[in-house]
Amino acid sequence: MLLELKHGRVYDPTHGIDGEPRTLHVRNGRLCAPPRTARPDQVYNLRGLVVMPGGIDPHTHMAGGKSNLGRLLLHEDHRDHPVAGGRLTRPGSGHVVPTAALTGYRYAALGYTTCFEPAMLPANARQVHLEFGDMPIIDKGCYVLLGNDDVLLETLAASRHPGQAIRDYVAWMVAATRAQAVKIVNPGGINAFKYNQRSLDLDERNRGYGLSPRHILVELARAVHELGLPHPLHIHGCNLGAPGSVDTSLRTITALEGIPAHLTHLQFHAYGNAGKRGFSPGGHQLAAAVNNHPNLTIDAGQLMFGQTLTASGDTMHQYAAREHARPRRMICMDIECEAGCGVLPFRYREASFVNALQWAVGLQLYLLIDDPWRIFMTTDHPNGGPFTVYPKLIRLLMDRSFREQQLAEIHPEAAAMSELRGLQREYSLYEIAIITRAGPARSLGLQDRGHLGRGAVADIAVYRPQRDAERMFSAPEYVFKNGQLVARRGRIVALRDGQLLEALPDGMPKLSRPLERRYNDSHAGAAHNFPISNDELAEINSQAGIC
Amino acid sequence: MLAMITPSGITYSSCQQLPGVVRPVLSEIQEYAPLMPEQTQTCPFCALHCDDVRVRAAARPRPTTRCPIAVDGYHRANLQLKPQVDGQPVSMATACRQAARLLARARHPLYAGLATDAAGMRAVVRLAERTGGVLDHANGDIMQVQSRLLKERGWISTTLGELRRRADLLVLLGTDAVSAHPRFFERIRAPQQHPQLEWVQLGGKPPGRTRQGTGRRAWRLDCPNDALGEVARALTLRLRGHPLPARRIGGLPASSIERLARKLSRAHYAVLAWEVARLPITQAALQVHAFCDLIQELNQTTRGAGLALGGGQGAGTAQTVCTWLSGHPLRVGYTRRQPQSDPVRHDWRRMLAGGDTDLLVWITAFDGGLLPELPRQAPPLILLARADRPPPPGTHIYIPIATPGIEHPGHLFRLDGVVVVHTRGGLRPARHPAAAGVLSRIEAQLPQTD
Repeated sequence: MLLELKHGRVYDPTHGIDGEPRTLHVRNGRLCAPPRTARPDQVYNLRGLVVMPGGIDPHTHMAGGKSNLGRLLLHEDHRDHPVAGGRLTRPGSGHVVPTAALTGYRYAALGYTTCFEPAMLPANARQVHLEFGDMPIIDKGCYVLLGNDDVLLETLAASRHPGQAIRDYVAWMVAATRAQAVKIVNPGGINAFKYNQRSLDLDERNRGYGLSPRHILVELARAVHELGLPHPLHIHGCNLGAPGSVDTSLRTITALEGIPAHLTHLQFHAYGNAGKRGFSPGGHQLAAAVNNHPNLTIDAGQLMFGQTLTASGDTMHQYAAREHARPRRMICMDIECEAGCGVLPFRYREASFVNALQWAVGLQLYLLIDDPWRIFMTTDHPNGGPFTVYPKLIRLLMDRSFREQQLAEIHPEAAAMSELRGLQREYSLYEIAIITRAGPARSLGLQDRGHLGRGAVADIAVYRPQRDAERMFSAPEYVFKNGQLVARRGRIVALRDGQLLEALPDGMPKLSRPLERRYNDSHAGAAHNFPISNDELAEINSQAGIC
Repeated sequence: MLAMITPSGITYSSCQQLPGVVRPVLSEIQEYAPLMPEQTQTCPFCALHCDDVRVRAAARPRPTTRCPIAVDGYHRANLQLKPQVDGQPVSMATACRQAARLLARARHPLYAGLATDAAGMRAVVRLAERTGGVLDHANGDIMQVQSRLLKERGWISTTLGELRRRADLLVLLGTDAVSAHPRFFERIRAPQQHPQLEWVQLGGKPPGRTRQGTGRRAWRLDCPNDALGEVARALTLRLRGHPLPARRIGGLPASSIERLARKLSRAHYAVLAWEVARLPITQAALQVHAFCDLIQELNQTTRGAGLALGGGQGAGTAQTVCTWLSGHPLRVGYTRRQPQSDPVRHDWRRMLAGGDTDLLVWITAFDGGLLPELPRQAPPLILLARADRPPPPGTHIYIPIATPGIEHPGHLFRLDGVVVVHTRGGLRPARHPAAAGVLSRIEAQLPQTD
């Protein structure tokens, strides 16, 4: 099957193509060279339309235990937003944390084709993969959560030169849970909360092991780097959401000493404690620091107004925020000597000084970080807002007058403190293509995604240009997944099963005896039963059929 | 080296590579080992899902554990039963075709029992979506208590691994733990160098013998299970610094409550465990709220968490799968082609008694004896059951199914709700198909609708 996509305005930043008219050819699900003789089986005339690679979301809490707990906790959202099944599609519900199938449909309908669940607890890995089996169309991957597990902390505490052991353990975990990358959340802090520590700054010591977050963070970042995993350590730092967190974040950046790292949802870690309310924007300082540290990539975790739900491994800070939950509910779990999970519903309001400031801080990061290759678009779904708000976020970045209009509606003190009004920058389509596709692909080591070069997976989104970027990005004209048309103007027209992306698909490294003993000491199940085999993945997917 | 080169030959130049830092190849992992096919099995029969059970493959496997639930579960007869329609043996194909025909005609099918693994559950939800059915688990009444708790307020909870390694105090509320989970204390025995667990049993049956070797002896406080909420509220009051309102509370002297409150506030990590099935059903919802208030109060100053025991017969698995597929915990209906949660209306007992269903599909893969009591005017029954006994008379369509963890592999959620186990099975050749296979086969024969 040969597909021809004619004369579209192509945005392919990986190849420096900035809106030039190009004709693309697709064979067997991948982009190919123009055929010499063969006639295409199908031709789409895309004259005047914008063509981009399929979107890549590097950080979206879309599956696993905490999403499911979120569905329970925000049950009104599911009652109020049911969706009936269609000729092709399955029924489901939910606006904030949609059910598995709806998540797949909605991402595809937005032009997204690859998404990463960033906080998979090892003990819950099987649930993530099971849910992936029910999430159609898009390709999926996950990051395994380490850095609060007693195995790692004990190993760090027990040795002066733990490097090799840490690398072995990280490789084993990544392979066993079928992960693409490693994430750390509040280094050592989730563990410390189990020992009743209520806060833990970068250089304080964890009560259980006497380790500082700095030490844990640097050792793990180095291990991930030295192992050569495609994505550097994905870091959710200390002091999430706390006034003064900007200072911790700046020290975290220095602590990394040039080791490659990704700082995730940095907006939530970018608050100062100045001003009469003791809460001030720190986006300027952090953006400058990111600009000066080429070892870093970040995503903002932009906050958008409305009802949402926060789900995080960071039990320490989720527990601390319980009074702010709306509705007032909380699930807080300590999990299997690995980490934890805190789930709270939140309603972000324009009129709230704190929320307005958070919103503004995210935009500061987008507007002040110079290199779009090092900042990716996320809302930390659903923590800053559900992923379906991306088109609106794109408009905020591309359209200064719209931004100013919104700025006029938020808490005036927050608006004034943020100094957003002076910022002229408007993202171009080329830059949007970088922060939503090309950049994340590069950071994740996805060599055949995020661009439209020959051999790339034919994940392609086609938009009709409009003055209103929100409308333009809400319902792409065409979305192709592996060369197959799956969505048309926001409607699903064909289904397929997505693929799992993982860093070490080829086999299981062995676990050394001491590590195995530590694992067995801190779990109520044995290490040898833990890894997910190829047969088991096949078993999960055989039930998926076409979702 | 994971070279950053695009297929068209362009090298990523501005990638986050540092000058002077060479990213090494995955050289550390020289040794690749195939996954070890261990001799141990993960027991599917109670929600503790012990993963250290040795079972020899046999027609009637017998595990080398003394756990009565495991021995009974593994060792049951595996009858050479054929599918039946109206009591007459038929081929699997005929039985599935007949089932699909009935389902296509049914206006209000009810899928209940739901004692199966994740794959079986995924398949039955799909069938309910297609046929406008209602889903409820055999133990739906009990499960409602816990899911309502999560919906209405949430909770602070923990897992077995944390209990085993971190907890220094366990308070069992109205349960001895071992009736539901015979190896409970064995499974949470702390590894060396970790805090020894002290435990208190408040109410419930007197302790049996299985719980030795878990640290210090238990302190047992005798109170009726319907007073547990009152006791928990009194403890919360004490932790808040208020005086106790009476000299005796829930049949216990104030001094005992005082002593327990002191133990709780001095513990570094206390776990409060209950089993909804042992609580009086009409009070259970309020009681677990009181337990959670107590846990919340405890966390003002120290750490403590809850653990809900029980939940066998695939209950946790059914609940979780149903939630990611429909957005709601069980007692979901697809009557208008979209999921609708109704804990009262979608109660299988109520639906059967009230004549609100015209076809019952009952699935029970772990225990062929887990069957509904049918009212006199019962709708036709399609029974997918483990072949450890013949189907009850009156079964309209009977399809024997295999058991996850004996014949075939499967995924199950442990009682703490977050740990998912993979049970291998393969202990004897499968005489019968897995529930998921049968359900998918039935679904494939439903007429296409728009």
